[in-house]
Formats: sequence, C-alpha cells, structure tokens
Amino acid sequence: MSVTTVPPRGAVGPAPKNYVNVNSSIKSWLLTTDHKRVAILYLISATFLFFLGGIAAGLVRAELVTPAGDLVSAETYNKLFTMHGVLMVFFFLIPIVPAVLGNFLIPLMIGARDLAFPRLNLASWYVYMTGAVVTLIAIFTGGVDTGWTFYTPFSSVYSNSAVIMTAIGVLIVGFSSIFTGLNFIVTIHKMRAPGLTWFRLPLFVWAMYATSLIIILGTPVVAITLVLVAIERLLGVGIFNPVVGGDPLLFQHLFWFYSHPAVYLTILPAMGIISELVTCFSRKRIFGYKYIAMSSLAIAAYGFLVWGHHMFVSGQSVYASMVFSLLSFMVAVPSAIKVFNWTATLHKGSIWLATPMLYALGFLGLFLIGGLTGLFLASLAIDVHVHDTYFIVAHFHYIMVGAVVLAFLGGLHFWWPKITGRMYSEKWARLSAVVIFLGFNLTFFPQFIVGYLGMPRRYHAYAPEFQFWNILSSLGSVVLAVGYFLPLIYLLISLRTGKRAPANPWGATGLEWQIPSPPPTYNFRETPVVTGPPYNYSAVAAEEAYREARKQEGQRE
Amino acid sequence: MTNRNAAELRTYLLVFVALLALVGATVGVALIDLGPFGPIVALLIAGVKAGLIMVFFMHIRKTTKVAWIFVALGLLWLFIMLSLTMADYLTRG
Amino acid sequence: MSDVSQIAAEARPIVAHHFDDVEQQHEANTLGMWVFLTTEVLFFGGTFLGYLVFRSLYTHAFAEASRHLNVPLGTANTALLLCSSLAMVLAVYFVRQDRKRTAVVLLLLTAALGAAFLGIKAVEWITDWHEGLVPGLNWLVVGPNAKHEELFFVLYFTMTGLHAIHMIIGIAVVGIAALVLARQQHVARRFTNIEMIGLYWHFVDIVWVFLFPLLYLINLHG
Repeated sequence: MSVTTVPPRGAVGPAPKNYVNVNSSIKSWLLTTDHKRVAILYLISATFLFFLGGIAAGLVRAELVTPAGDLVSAETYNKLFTMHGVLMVFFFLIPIVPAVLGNFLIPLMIGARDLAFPRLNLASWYVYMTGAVVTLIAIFTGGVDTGWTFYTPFSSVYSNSAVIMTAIGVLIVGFSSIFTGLNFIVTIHKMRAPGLTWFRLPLFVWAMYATSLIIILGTPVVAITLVLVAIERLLGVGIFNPVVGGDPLLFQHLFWFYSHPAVYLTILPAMGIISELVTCFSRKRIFGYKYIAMSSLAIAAYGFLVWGHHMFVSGQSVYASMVFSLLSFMVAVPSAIKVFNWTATLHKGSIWLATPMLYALGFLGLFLIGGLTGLFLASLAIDVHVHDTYFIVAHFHYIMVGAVVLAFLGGLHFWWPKITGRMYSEKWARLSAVVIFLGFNLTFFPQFIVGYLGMPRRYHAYAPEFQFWNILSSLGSVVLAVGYFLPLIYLLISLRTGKRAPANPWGATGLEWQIPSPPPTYNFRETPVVTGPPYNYSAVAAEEAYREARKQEGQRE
Repeated sequence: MTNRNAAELRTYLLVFVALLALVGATVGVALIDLGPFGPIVALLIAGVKAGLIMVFFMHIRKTTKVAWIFVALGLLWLFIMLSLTMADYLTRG
Repeated sequence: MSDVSQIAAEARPIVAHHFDDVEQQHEANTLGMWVFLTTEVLFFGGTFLGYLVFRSLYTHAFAEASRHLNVPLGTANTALLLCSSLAMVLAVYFVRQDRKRTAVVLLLLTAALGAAFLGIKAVEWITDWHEGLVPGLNWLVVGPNAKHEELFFVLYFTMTGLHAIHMIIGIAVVGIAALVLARQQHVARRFTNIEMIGLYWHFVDIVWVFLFPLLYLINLHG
C-alpha cells in the first residue's frame, strides 16, 4: 500500500513511548482527546454494559427452562427482557464497533493524527456514560417493562414503570452516537492522507462512513420520537394515544424509521471488519472491492426504505405493506453482493485459520442464516404466521448477535496486538471462538423451530410442548456465556504476560500496520503518502511480513 | 472599503428586503382562498425564503461542495420519511 | 477560494495540532456544522411528520384551531428573526474584516433580537394559557372537534417549544461569543467560530420560516 517502514523491534527492553504509557494517571485518561484512548474508554464501558445485559438475558433463559412462570413474576420478566434489549441495542450493539474499533482505527487507516473533532469525541463518551447512568438508574429503581421498542400507547399511557427516565437515557446515548457519526464523516472527508483517494480507502472505512450516514440521518428521528412519548406521558395529551385522537401507528412509523436502519448500523461495521479479515487471512486482494464499498452505501440508503415490514400486522395499509415487502426483498441484494465477494475472496486463497479468521468464517455462516430467514419474514404471508414468535427473536439474534458480536470479536482479536501491543494466547482464543459459535447456534437455532411451531415471544410462561426446545436453548446460553467469559479472561491476562506484539503480526496491508504496536500518541511521525490500492497482498513486503508472522506463530505455539 | 466588500454588504441588505417582502406575501396569500393550493403556495414561499437564507446568509455556494450533499441528503431523507408514511395513511381501507 | 484565505495573515486562526493548515481546519469545521444541521432537519422532521399526518386526517379541525393564534404577533416575530439573521450575517462579515467593535455590537444586537422574539412568544403562550388552549394542563375548548384541535395545540407547543429551546441555546452562544470577542485583539482569529454560530442561527431562523405558515396561516380566509 505505501511507505514508511518501521525498524523491527525486539521483545526485550522498555517499550518506547506510545499512547498507553505516555501518561498513566487516571486524569490523563479521563481528559484525553486522543482517539485511541477514547476508544479504550468505550471498550471498557461497553463491555461492562454487555455483561450486565447478558445477566438479564441469562435470567430470561433461566425462567424459560420450565413452562410455568415460576422463577420470576410476569412483571419482573418483562423488565428483564426490556433491560436486556435496551442495554444490548442502544449501549452495546450500536456503539461497539464504531466507538471502539472505528474510533481507534479510522485515523490510523487514513493516515491522520486524530479525528476531526477530538474534544467532541471525548464529549461523546461522557454523553454515552451519562445516558448509561440515567438508564441504569431507571432500571434499578423500578425498571421498565415496555420492551426496547417502547410501543405506544402502552409506554405513553398504561405502563407503570420508569418509561420517561429510560427514554431520556436512550435519547442521551443517541446524541453520543450522533457525535461519533458526525466526527467520522468529517474525518473521512477532510483528513485523508495524500494519495488516499476514496477507492483506496480500506473497506472498514467505507463501512464506517456508511454507518455514520445512518447515524446522522436516523438517530435524530428516534430522539424526537422519544421526546414525543415523554410529552404524551407527562401531560396526558394524545399524539399516539387513540383515546384522545392520536395514532399509535405514527409512533411505529417514527420509531422504525430509525430502528430498522439501526440494525444496518450495527451490521455494516461488522461487515467492514469481515472485509478486512477475509482478505488478510486468505492472503489475497479482496474480490470486488468497489462492489463491496458501494454495497455499504446501498445498504445504508435502502435500509431506510423498509421500516414498514415491522408493521405488517399492525393495521398498516395493505398497499403500504406490499411496497415495504418488495423493498425489503431488495435490501437483500447488496448484502448478498458482499457475501458473494467474500466467498470469492476465499476461493483459491491460502487460508490461514488464525483466531480472527475463525470468527470471520463463523460470521459468514451465521449472517447467511440470519439474512435468509430475514427474507422469509419480508414476505407478507409468512410474516403474518411467525410475527411476534421466537422465529423473529432467532432471526434478529443471528444478525445482531451472531453476526455482529462474532465480527466484533474477530476484529478485536485482529487489532488487539495493535491496540495493546501484546499477543494473546492463540490456543485459548481459537477454543473460545469455537465455543461461542457452538453455544450461539445451540441457543438460537431451537428458537427458529419453536417459533415456527408458534411459541410467542415476550411471555414468561409457555405451553409445555415447547419445553424441549427451550431447554436446548437455555443450555446453549450457558455455553455461550462461557464462550464470552473466556476472551475476557485470556485477553486481560495477555496484557500482563502476553508476548510483545510486532508492528505487523499478521502480515497485513494497511497504514495502521506500518506504525509500532501500540501506536505512538501522534500516530504517524510523518504523514504517509499512499501510492496504490489497498489489500496488495501479492506485494513483496506483504509476503515477507506474512512469512515472518507465520514463523512467529510457530514459535509461539 | 473595496468594491467587493460594498457589493457584499449590498447583497445582504437586498436579500433581507426580499425576505421581508416574502413574509408579507405569505400572509397575503393566506388571506386568499386557493383551495388545496393554499398550503403548497405557503410552503413554496417558505422554501424560497429558506433558499435565500442558505445561499446568501449561510454562504453555501462558497463552502465545501460536500455541504451540498448533506443538505440534499437531509431533505431527501425527510421526504422519504414523509412520503412512505403518508403512503400508509392515504391508502388505508 | 475560501473565506479564511481572505483574512489578513496576522489575524489568521490558530491551527489545532491534528490539522495540516488553516484551510483544512476551516473546511472540517464547516462540514461538521452542516452535517449537524442535517441531523437537526431530521430532528424537527419528526414533528413535521406528525403535523402532516394529523393535518391530513383532521384538516378542518386544524384550520379551526389555527385561528386561535395571533397572526400579527406571529408575523412580527418572523420579521424580528429575519432582522436578527441580518445582524448575524453582518457580524460574521465584520469579524472577517477584523472590525472588533462593530462585530461585537452586531452580535449583541442579534442576541437582543432573539430575546425579543422569545419575549413575544412568551406573551403568546401566556395568552394561550388564559384562553384555555394548553393541552393536558388547561384545555377548555369544547365542541365536536375539540379532541383534534387539542392535537393541533400539542404539535404547536411541541414545535414552537423545541424551536424556543434552540433559540435559547443560540442566544446564549451568541452572547458568550460577543463577550469572548470583546477580549480579543484580533477578532478575525475567531472567524470560523463566529461563522459556525451564524450557520446555526440562520438554521433556527429557517425552521421558523416553515413553522410560521404551517401553524399560523392555515385558511385565514375561511
């Protein structure tokens, strides 16, 4: 790809000055404007909230082991799945890849010293934390039982839980993602290194750009929607409440105008990661670069045209439903383009089954299942049959958990040496990748079946004939939980005892691999100049780095 | 003061006068019964006013071209939201 | 040619460490502001959607309800905001010329006009309260369409309220900017900041330009 070469460093001696050891006081972390440090702040806080949301999910699965509602009351159960949904969607899935990996990598990938607005970036983390605290206070001082979707008029009139406070928390966290999206857009437009044209950008950057577009075009709408819910609830006026002349469907239009694209804004960054992983661990230039880049934009745009498929059985006009159904089928096209191109990249590549690649391959399988079941749901007749059943739950978990979390973990393992300067235990990492993949499928595949058989979602009790599948699912969730804890442990251990990472442990192309691991505070000593397209894995330098990386790997094992 | 500066100040004043005239026009139009065209004309006048403000007061012509893209995106997305939602309301049985 | 390049060399803004030069910095800031305004379009857009839906469903009630509003005051307020926009654009112009005193006076004038707008708005709201036009809190309208007229007023208060919040933020920012400029030797150093504040101010003005006919001027003839 380009230029600056870094002298190889030995594993001994004190590490040179980098963004981590430049200043270790707490204050320097809390007041940092370094995009790399802000990314770490996000990583820590989002991981914490992920495990909190995971505990709620665990309790839900525990309740569902038996058909009777015996472990928790119906009310508590409603609060648990709402807590799970709110924390996972708004505080983990949406920010996790952009705010952690995007924050860390975009300036490195485009050869910039920081994001365009470093202080706004730090502010976004504080806003995120404020939203998290407000939401957690709401959850722990009464909870909220509306589901993460806040459907009216239940949320705005009848629910006896902390709806307003939760809505305010979600509203606040929305602003943090707007800040991040705005920052990325300006950075990618205005701060690229000389020679780094749009079609030389890494596909991860393209994905983050498309994601940012969704953030800035969608998030304000959910913000105003939640404001309207709060107004209706506070003043008892009718906007969405039919008793006083309002229309509940208006809420659903407004809500899904953001919240359907929100699915794409979690999956697009994941796709960006997969594009990087597949090409690196196939040792081949990515197939169909331009198509993958453009399909990201296409997904971002199309994603806004399909929201009505959440409302097929809600009293929406049948003609509108037909239009939304057709548009929903079309959004599968750009996603399929990506999958085909990734598969073509694998074809005749020299596949290296390192941990990140295991996650990438797992992603491909889960995304395929999640995407294809999405097509079932896009067709009107089938959707009427499986609407509000566990089929839906399984479908979106395959996309938003299976695909997104696997891709995130793949990316985290890929860039962990760059972020921390340490190698993790490859053996444990491969093991946990397999455990997570198996645990995930065991948890969610039975839900497709039980949903198709007619088990409705969001009830704490169910008919006894569904018990077998629910036991499988709950067993799977235990395996999955173990799988999630393993990386937490061995990655933390690697910080102390991991081998020092070289600048480029995977023999990857891309500007971020040409600076030391971890990167110095100012990223690039001199602004790099880019002279060619990305993913040039046939270049001599890349070949050499690859051979070196495999040799290192052999020594580690 | 150079000619260029004088011209710039004159433009600001002219645009301001035009905007005030359009405020008068929009109130005047509201007093006439135009049937279904009433709101359309009102929105057209508001659009012209917004255009004048964007071009002459917000200098959108002089800023980076990308700014145009985002103005267009914002309006297009607003249009998508309004039109697809209305597609539901207007075709209900 | 960008506006910053017209500024005399000694009054050029300081370049932050992560930008290459003053042009890149200025372009990044400008683009950032426009992107932010795009989000604002969609933010207000949600209320416009509510307005569109309910006006198309309850056309007659909306026209009826709209007649409760005070058109002369609304018109005066529109004119006031346009005056404030003129003051703002002139303030930006004189900052670029590095003419401190004029720029500061114009910024203060902008803020004062904005405050006058809010004053008139407050008078209107208080009148609405006395006439029993506040949904949920003091709603005294009766009649066959009362429910749907109430919907109009919910939207009216939401939209004008959100706009007023934006005005309050704008007035505060413009006021602070005036105080900061008053302490500067070269106000042109702050050109980008003032220009960005101007963009925000004009945008809030544009929102009102649309709110005014939609809320005040439905079928005045009927």
